[in-house]
Amino acid sequence: MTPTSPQEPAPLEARGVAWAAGERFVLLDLDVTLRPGELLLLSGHNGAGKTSLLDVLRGERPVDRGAVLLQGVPLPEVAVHELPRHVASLHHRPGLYFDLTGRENLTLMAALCGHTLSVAEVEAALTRVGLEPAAWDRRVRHYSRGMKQRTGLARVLVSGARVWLLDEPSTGLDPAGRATLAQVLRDARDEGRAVMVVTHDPELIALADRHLVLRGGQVHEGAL
Amino acid sequence: MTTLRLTWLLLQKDLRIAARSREVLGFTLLFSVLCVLIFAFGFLQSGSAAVRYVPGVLWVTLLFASSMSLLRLFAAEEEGGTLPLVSATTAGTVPLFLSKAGVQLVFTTLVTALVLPMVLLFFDARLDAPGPVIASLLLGLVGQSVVGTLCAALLVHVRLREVLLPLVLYPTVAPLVIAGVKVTSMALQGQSGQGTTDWLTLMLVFDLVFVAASPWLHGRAMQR
Amino acid sequence: MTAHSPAPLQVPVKQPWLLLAGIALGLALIEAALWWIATKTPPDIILGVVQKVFYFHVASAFVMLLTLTAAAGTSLYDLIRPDDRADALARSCLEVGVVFALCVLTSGPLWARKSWGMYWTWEPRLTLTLLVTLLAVAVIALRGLAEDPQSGRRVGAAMAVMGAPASFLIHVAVKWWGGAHPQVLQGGGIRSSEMRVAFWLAVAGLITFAACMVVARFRDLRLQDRARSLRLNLSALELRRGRA
Repeated sequence: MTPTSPQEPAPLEARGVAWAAGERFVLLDLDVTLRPGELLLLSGHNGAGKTSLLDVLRGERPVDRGAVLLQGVPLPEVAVHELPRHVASLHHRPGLYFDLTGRENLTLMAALCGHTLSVAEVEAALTRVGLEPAAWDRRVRHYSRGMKQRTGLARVLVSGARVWLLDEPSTGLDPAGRATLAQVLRDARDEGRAVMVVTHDPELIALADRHLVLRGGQVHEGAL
Repeated sequence: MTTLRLTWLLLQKDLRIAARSREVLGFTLLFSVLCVLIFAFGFLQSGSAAVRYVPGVLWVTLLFASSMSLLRLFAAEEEGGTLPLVSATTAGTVPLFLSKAGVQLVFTTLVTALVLPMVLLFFDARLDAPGPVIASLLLGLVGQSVVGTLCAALLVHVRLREVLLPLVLYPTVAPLVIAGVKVTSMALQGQSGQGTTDWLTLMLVFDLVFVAASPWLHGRAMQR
Repeated sequence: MTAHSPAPLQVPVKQPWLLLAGIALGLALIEAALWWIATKTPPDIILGVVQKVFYFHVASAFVMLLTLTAAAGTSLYDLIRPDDRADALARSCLEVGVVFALCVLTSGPLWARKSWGMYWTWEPRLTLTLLVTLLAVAVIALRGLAEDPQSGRRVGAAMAVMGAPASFLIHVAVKWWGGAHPQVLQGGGIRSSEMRVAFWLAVAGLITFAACMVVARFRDLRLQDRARSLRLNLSALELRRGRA
């Protein structure tokens, strides 16, 4: 891990983090820095603690030791309502209301992050993730799994957050969907966002600027 | 964005979801009808004796119907995995709490509008001065919405919450139910005056305490 | 913590002499109260010997309300300023409160059978006491059912605070609702000084004993906390050894 320059703190950084499930440490002495404009890839065996690490990074689980710093400020000191503006995440559940349409979901989620989106902006986001217009005004309940995943990605897009934490984002996506995802991730990197992706998808691994492996509660450079 | 605007946004969302899945409201109403009928079986008597059971049947039916709809209050959030997104809005946890209490209030008000005339009709009770009863119902609805929402929100990450909810809800709202039953029975017997005012004051104090304390208690309990 | 610091395996645990002395004092006071009630107090003219349940019934109710209020107070403190000791104290008070609530709920019917002619009646103070007991049991059970211990702790604390108004209503129930409970203390029901001595001996004995139970359980919970952190340290050591 190279230290970031002192004048600009990293968008998100874990320092000496330890997190225990019950009486066993899952993460221990863990350091990781997300840098702007970098696509960071994380892999590891099942049960290595990848999802736990993402939960710790987005402030969903408090650390037992060490600290997670958002732009240099330790997470507990960042007011809980500041987080969604800065950190967006996508998990195994897409973070959408199944009885709202894709369009309504995006408008609402952007508003919760403090942005008011125009109709054109919402449609642009839905187009960007490759959701066909016929589906925009249908309820998410009737979407296929891949369509839900795409809409979840669109939600991350409209949040405007500088840090993205994506857990297995290619789950349920067809080849075209994977290509779209790869393009969205490349664009995000070019826009200067810090992106961390947990995946074992070779297509995405090829994109990564840095590849980390979670092993023994720590992250190591290199492939699995 | 202000707390009120976000609350309105979330309330709109919940009401829209409720309107799209009308079955939930329909079944809650159906359940309250069933509840009254079962009570009628239990206490089946003719003439004036039946009137004695009106206050109890009315308030207990409302309590049962309220716990029914409380069990569904966070269902949409759990289904789509949106809870972390809405509990960390740009104004903290207060909008989530207030909007859920609002939804619960709307639901139980609709149930009350159905149950009150039905109970009076089925048990052949005449309400000459409905003022105190309406007042007690309004205070009771506000109180149970706030306390019930607090219980449901606290139990959202707890296993067996369906069983635990009544166990924590009923003791907490017992003062409201006792006071409501007293006011209703006094009104049915044509009494009014100091006794009624005392009970209504108790309900008002209970409501004020919980309306003030609940959003705070919820925020403290949900912090990470 | 350095990479290979040895876990402190030998934890000095002081002998709880003060606690043992407190328990002995509590038991002695309870014995004294029993002896006094048996030999000095007069049997009731109407109720006969059953009236003597009163001393321990009311004293248990005292202790129940005290411990439940203390549980709500310490829970509130833990919510405002998270503190492991406040949490352990809240849990201890709640558990001891439930034990004494069970004492109240069993000694009450013994009296009621003679006085009211039935073991149980739907009377506000009685019903509220049972409801609050159920709430307390639910709060105790809830911790084990929460997703993770920390959220269970906060949810349990919030619920304990929510129960406080209901506990308060038990206290004022008879005054506000009427009901069949006699208002002995407020109404000047204790006439003879022998009865007064018996009553206050019972109260002092039970409060001392309950306080010792709270302290014992508190100690137990703190020792469990310590054991947990030791096991965590051990897990850290094993994890680090595995990396080397």
